[in-house]
Order: sequence, then structure tokens, then C-alpha cells
Amino acid sequence: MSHSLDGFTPTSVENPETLEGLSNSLAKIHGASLSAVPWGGGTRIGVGNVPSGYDVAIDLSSFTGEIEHEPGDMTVIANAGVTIGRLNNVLAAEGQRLAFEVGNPANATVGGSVASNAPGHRQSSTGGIRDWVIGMQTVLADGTVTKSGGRVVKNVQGYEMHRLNTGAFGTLGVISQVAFKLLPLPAEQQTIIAWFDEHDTAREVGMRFVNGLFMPEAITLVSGPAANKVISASGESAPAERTYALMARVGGGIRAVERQVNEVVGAIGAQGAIGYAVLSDDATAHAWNELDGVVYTAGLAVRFISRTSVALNAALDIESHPAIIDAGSVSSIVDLGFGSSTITATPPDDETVLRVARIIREKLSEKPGSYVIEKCPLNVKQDMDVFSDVGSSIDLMRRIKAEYDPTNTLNPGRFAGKI
Amino acid sequence: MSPETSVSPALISDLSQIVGDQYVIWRSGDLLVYEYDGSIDKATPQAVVLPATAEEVAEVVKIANKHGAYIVARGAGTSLSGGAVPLRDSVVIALTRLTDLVEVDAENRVAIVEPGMINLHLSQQVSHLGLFYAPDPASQKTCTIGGNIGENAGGPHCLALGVTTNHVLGLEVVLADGSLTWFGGTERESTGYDLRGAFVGSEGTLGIVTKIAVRLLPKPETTHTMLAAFTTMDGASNTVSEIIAAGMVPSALEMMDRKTIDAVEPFYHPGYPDEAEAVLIVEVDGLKEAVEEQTETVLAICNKNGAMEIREAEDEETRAKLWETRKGAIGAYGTIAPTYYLVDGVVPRTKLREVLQQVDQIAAELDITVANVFHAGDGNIHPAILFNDRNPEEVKQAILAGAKILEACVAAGGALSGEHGIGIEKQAYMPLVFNEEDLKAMARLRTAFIGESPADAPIAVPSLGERFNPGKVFPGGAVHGEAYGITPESFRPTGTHDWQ
Ligand SMILES: Cc1cc2nc3c(=O)[nH]c(=O)nc-3n(C[C@H](O)[C@H](O)[C@H](O)COP(=O)(O)OP(=O)(O)OC[C@H]3O[C@@H](n4cnc5c(N)ncnc54)[C@H](O)[C@@H]3O)c2cc1C
Repeated sequence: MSHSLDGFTPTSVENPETLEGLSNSLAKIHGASLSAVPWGGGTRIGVGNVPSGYDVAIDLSSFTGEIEHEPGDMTVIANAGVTIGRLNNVLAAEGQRLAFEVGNPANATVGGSVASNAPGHRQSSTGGIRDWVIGMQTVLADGTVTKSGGRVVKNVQGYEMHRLNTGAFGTLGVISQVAFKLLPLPAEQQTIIAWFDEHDTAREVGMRFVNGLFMPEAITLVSGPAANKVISASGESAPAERTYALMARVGGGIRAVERQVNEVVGAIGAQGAIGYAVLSDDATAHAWNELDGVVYTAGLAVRFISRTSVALNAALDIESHPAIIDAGSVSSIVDLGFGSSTITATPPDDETVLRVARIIREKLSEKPGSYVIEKCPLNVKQDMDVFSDVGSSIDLMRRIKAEYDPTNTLNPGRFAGKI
Repeated sequence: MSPETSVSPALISDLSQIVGDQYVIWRSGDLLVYEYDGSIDKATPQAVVLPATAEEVAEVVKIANKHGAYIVARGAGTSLSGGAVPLRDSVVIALTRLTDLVEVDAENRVAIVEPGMINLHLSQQVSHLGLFYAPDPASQKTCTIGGNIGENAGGPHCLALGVTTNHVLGLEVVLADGSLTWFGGTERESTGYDLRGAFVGSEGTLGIVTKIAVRLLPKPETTHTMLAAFTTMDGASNTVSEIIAAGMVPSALEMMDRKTIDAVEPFYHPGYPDEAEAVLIVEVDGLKEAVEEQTETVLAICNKNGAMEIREAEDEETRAKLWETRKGAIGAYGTIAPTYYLVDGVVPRTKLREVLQQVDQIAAELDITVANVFHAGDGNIHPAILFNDRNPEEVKQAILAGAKILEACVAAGGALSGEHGIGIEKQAYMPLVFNEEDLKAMARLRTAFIGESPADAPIAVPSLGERFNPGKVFPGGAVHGEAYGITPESFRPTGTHDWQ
């Protein structure tokens, strides 16, 4: 794996396999006043500002150790380098799974997913990763090993450093090990996809579930070319016009799934969907993967998190902006359960991407919520903070960074507010 | 002795200017109710202030800083770990006048409340919208949401739905310098460090919450409650394990032992079988079909493990009846002994039986009464040590028993606290789980929050870090049971049980 990032190529790469090795690597880097970027599978390494320094890559992909799964307690402890895919395979053997999903689980690691607070479709119902992290071990910039939380599903013992480090993008310490609370695998799962020619109709149907009888495991409203893609991926023929696809994945026991499917199909029918399909297992996986693919292949992807209605309106507002329409295929993927919209675009060149990014940033800045530019070319990163403004708590965040990494060794400049 | 003389008149006068005379309490007799919380520890505050707004809270913090006084935030004072006990002549800021429901957004299921709002009141006030607030501590009729933030409170229904921190979207906080700031917002994830996640459960040591944005949930279509009586604790414990192993997470899974049954019988007359050694409450909710499927599974497991009697409830009234004994259990302990010390430890669910046996052994060795009522589903045990606080020997035994029970929990791979926090009670036990580096790393967070003492601060300004709720959480702060003559040397567990 190349460890180049935003125009930087590190002078050396550390590949620790043990805790001691990791601690020694950090002590060495720290002692030499160098700066370091921790790497997991590299699936989300591009999320973040341009580093202010980058001498050493700490590649954690060999930091895998033992997976400690306690099926009876529904918990697992895994090292940073274990991939989410492998971890889920181990858990599935006992009928369990991680509560959250990430894109590209075959490559995404525990450490990288937690550090970057990776989003996934199941967040509609189970929330973000941080709600499932019950304990953590981190190695501070100077090599000091520390831990917080515990290995039991419920624990309040001291400050929840594991919450602070989730989504801190490795700026406070290198996550070496994480303890997760787990969920049982559902007996059955099905996905229903329905498409509409009116945004409002699709939205109304979706919101009725989110606020009503049950929360689907994942529920997403897709518009633009991405909608056509997922419809095709489901084996259906997508309409030629702009369309709005509502995807709902339901899970549970056989009877519960049957009821949920009936409810969703009933609501879709009553609201006059243009078409719908109840997907087989394979088609389900294919359709959701296709949705992830839209984000990976986009030139620009911005994720905005807000109250669901605000997230929906923001997506609509941006998609209908003339300059953005002109710039190239714009799609939005709104998670109705979680309250987030990911806006993707594929403008023809970097200059257009920058123009579009500026418009999006301006639009989103007016709205209550947070955003992060998940994918963009270097010129965008050089132009703006890829994270939204954190407001008045920025001073406190800087003090926190200064407490844990006073020498600015870890991921310098890459975090919100260029921390 | 005139206790009033120990109070700084200048402080009282400054505080009165902010909130008005009637909302500053400083006469010793009036301070009595603020000496205690739900734990066995106590201490007298210098003064108590009852601000009415966030801005007043901020001003009060500035006044306390000016006078070099420590500050303790207080909600309803139901903390069971001494979290609200004001050590070191603190000024108590009681949040009980900040009770407003600031905003409800039903479409997005968000509410913003003030910290003094009683937990149950929130669910009641949004009930007509078909919504509720999930964290439901057994004390929910009295405890405040601000206090829930302080302790990261749980409750019977947190098994499936998660504890307080899983439901908090944002916090408005008064920081050590008296500035007001927001952590997070009303969205699920916010940019930057997760300050709200770091703050929830920080036991009032990092600042004072003045507004809280929370998630609300839609009420489930169906709820089914089952109560099963077992002739042995083993039967009940096995039932718990097998329910979890069956791949389900019920909405609640609670257990009571024989002593608790004895305590509740005269109050609620549930008429549980004489031979019952344990009673289990299992609740499942959701779609009708899901509830039916899960009910069948639960009943089968109960029967397999020798349940001698099973009661079921579909409607609210019957359900309330089934829950009555569980919710009233702690209050009912008064019939057995004058005082209870409710221990809060967590064990891996697979070790429940083993640790409960150790709890019995500890009780027998120390010749002390222990009753159990607890959140079995998540392994969160609450042995209630029942004793007479007028007998110093009994107090010592009670505290020793608590220490031994907590040590047994962590030795089994568990935790020192599931929901009541560390407070005064367990700070001396923190080294059982955390080494010096772990604790130092936590203390750094507090330093970041509290900041440097201002250059022009009076000499008496509390040292770095301890401005809010001094003597809590970190080892060496205070002595659990000091009011009863316990010394630091009395019981200091020495083992280490690194959870890794
Ligand atoms: C009978 C009984 C049953 C209980 N059952 C449960 C249960 O099932 N689950 C559970 O988790 N707990 C339970 N508890 C414990 C207690 O009710 C909870 O810890 C509750 O969260 C405390 O709320 P309070 O308003 O009483 O807070 P207080 O006791 O007043 O304060 C608790 C802590 O929070 C801090 N604090 C208070 N307000 C603020 C604020 N605005 N900003 C910052 N910090 C603040 C205080 O300084 C203190 O450290 C029970 C207690 C009793 C007496």
C-alpha cells in the first residue's frame, strides 16, 4: 500500500504488530519530533484536512492480535487492524454482528472505522459507532498506553475517553483496541425499494415509518442518478426521468419481517409509487453496495447531519441549484432514520468541483447541523476546512488536543478547525 | 457556635445580587437537606444557590470563582454514589428551578429541556405526540435529566434502548470560566471532538449543564410483560442467559431475590409463591408479530428452567401492577433495616450466577444482610446492603461488604459501576480497574476543561481541575463513610483487574 496522502509521501512506514511495538514506534517518532499519520485499511484516510506535517505512516493493518468474542455477553474486543469484515465473520459464527455497518468492510479496519466514525446504512436504526463502543485502549503520541471504559455492556467508570476518541480521527491518540457491544443477527432480512416521481411523496412515505410503527434497519431516500443506479442494481428498469428511490431494509423474526414488508408495500401502493420491488438476499446486498459505490466514485461527496427534515430540505435545495445541476450529475442519499444527507457530484474537472463545493458549503453553513466533505480533490482541501465550523467549543477542543498531543505529532492539522 | 459566621457575607451578598435573596440559602438549619444525596455520605455546603436561568448559572459560577469557592451542581440529589454531596465547603448550584421543556420537534423526534426537569415529566409531556424519552432510572419520578447527564443514568429499559449517553444530542454547558457553550447540537453527530459524549457521565466535574437536547422515540405498537417466579436463583439466572443466547434483546430483564420479595410483600401484596427464591420480569415490545415471537421464546425458556408461576400483562394497568414491586423495591427495604447502601456493579452476563454466589458469601462472612434487585439483562447488579447507620460497626461492615462486592465484580471482568457513577463511594476503588496512566489520561481531560487559574485569581481559587465537584471520581479525593469515622486506610482494595 502506498502511504501517500494529499501530496505528502512519508519518509518511513512503521508496521507494528504488538502493543509494545506500537508504543515503541510512537515513542521513537515523538522523540525525533516527527509527525505521523496512523493508517488502517486506508478506506477513509482521505477524509480530513491537508496535514501540516507527515513524516511517518503508522500502518496498523498487521496489528490484529486475538479477537476476544464473548457470545454469552454479546461483547467483543478486537485490535485496531482487524477488518470489520473479518470481525463480522467471527461474530456471525455465533449468530451475532456488530451493530453498525461501514462501507467497504473487507478493507475497513476497527481502528480506522472508529477513529473516523465511519457511517453505514444501519445507522438509521442503531445510530453511530460511538453508541456501541464500550471500552478502548489508545496509545498516546509519546507512546503511553491508556484505556477507558470496560468490557461489559454497561459501564460508567471514569471519563468516557472512548467516546472522545471515536471520531477524533486519531488526533488524540492511536486507537489500539476497541471493546464493542453487539447485536444478534436477525433471522430474516429483506429490502424493499420503491420509486416515485415526486420527492414529497417519497419523503412522506419514508417519514411515516421513521416516526411510526417501526424503524426499518436502514431507510434511505435516494435521488438523482444514484436513484436510477440502485433501481437498476435491483434488477428493475429505472425510469428515464429524475426519480426518487426509497429503500427500506427490514429485519427480525419471520413473522415480524412479513408484517414489515406488508406495511411498507401497502404504504408505497397507497401513495402511488411508480414501481417497487421486494429484493432477494443477493439483490439486497447488490443494491446497498451500489449505493456505497456512488459515494466512492464521486468526485465530491459531502455528508450533512441534521434533523431529518433539515437534512432533506438541504439536499433538495442543493440539488436544485442551477449551478450545481450544470456542473454534473448530482445525487443525494438521505438517511431518514439517522438524519443525514450525503450529496455527491461528479463534475468534469477539479475547478468545477471547487465551485460546487463552495456552493454546497455556503448552503450548508446556513443550516443548523454539521457537515464533512468526505471526498474531494486536493484543491478543495487547500481552499476550505473539510469539516464544518464547530462554533464556540473550538477553544476547548484545542485545549484537549494540547493536553493529549502537545507536540502535535498525530495527524497534525487534519481535524476540524485544522486541529 | 453561630454557624453563620463561617460563611463569607460578601459571597452571599454577591450571589443574592444575581438570583435574589430568597434563592440563596446559607443558614445552617436550611442547609441540612443539601448535605445528603441518596448515598450514605454527607457534607455541609457553604451556601446553596437556586438560579432560574442559564445566564444566572453562568453568573453564579463567576461569583464563586471570584471568591475562590468550589462548585457542586445538584439536581434532585438522588445520586447513590455521593455525587451530589458538597465536599470542601462548596457552593451548591441547585438546578431545580430550571424545569422548562424548551422545544419539542415531533417530526424529527427531538426535545430540548432544562436540566432540572424531572426525568418522568419529559415522557409525560411528549406522550400525546406518541413519543417517549427512553432512559428510565427507577428514580425517574424524582431524579432530574441534568443529574442523569451527570451520572450517565440507566434504567430497566436501557437494556435494549441504551443509557443516557445514547440519547443525548447536545448540551449547553457553563464552563469553569463562566462562559456558556454548546457541545453537539440537535443532530446525531457533530463536527469535532465528541464533547457531549465526554461530558455525559463526568459526574459534574467538568461544568454545569443548562440545556439538554435529547432524542425521543415513538412508542411501540405492542408491549408484553411477563413475570416469572423461580424456586432457585440458578433457574432465574439461567433463564437470563438463555434469553440472551436465543438472539434476542428484550426491552427489560429485571430480577429480584427472596429478601427483596419479603421486603415488598407487606407493601404491595403481590402474593408471590412462598417457595420463590427469585422473580424475573421480562418485557418485550415492538410490532405485534415480533412481540408474539419473542413472548413464545421467553415463556418456553422460563418453563424449561422450572418457572413455578408466570404472570403476564398486555394492558397498562396490569403492567403497572407487575412493575410495582420492582420499582418500589428499594423503598421497601426500610422494613428490613433503617438504612440501605445500594451497590452498583457490572459483571459479564455469563458470570451472574457466580458473582451472586460470591455476594452471598461476602454477606455471610461479614454477617450482614444483602438483598438483590437488579438489571439482570445487562449484568448490572445492585446488591442492597441493609444495616443500621447508628451502629458504627455495622456501617464499617457495610462499606467493607460494598468494597468486596465491587472487587468481585471487576475480578469477574466487570465494572465498578453500571449507572450510579464513581462519586465519593468508589473513587478509592478506581485503581482496581485503571492504572496510573489511565487515570492521568482522564485527569488531562479535566485539566483541558477547567483550564488555568486566571492570573488575578484569589489565592483560595481551587487548584487546577477540581473547581467543579471536588473530591469525586479520582482516587484520593474523599473517604467513603468519613461521616461514620471511616479512614482512608480502612478499606482500600489492593488488587488490579485490568479489563484488558
Ligand atoms: C430509589 C432510587 C433508585 C434509583 N434507580 C436508578 C436507576 O435505575 N438507574 C440509575 O442510573 N440510577 C438510579 N438511581 C440513582 C440516581 O437517581 C441517578 O444517578 C440520577 O441520575 C441522579 O439524578 P439527580 O437529579 O438526583 O442528580 P443529583 O444526585 O443531584 O446529582 C448527580 C450528579 O450529577 C451532577 N449534576 C446534577 N445536575 C447537574 C447539571 N445540571 N450539570 C452537571 N452536573 C450535574 C451532580 O453534581 C452529581 O455529581 C436511583 C436512586 C434512587 C434513590
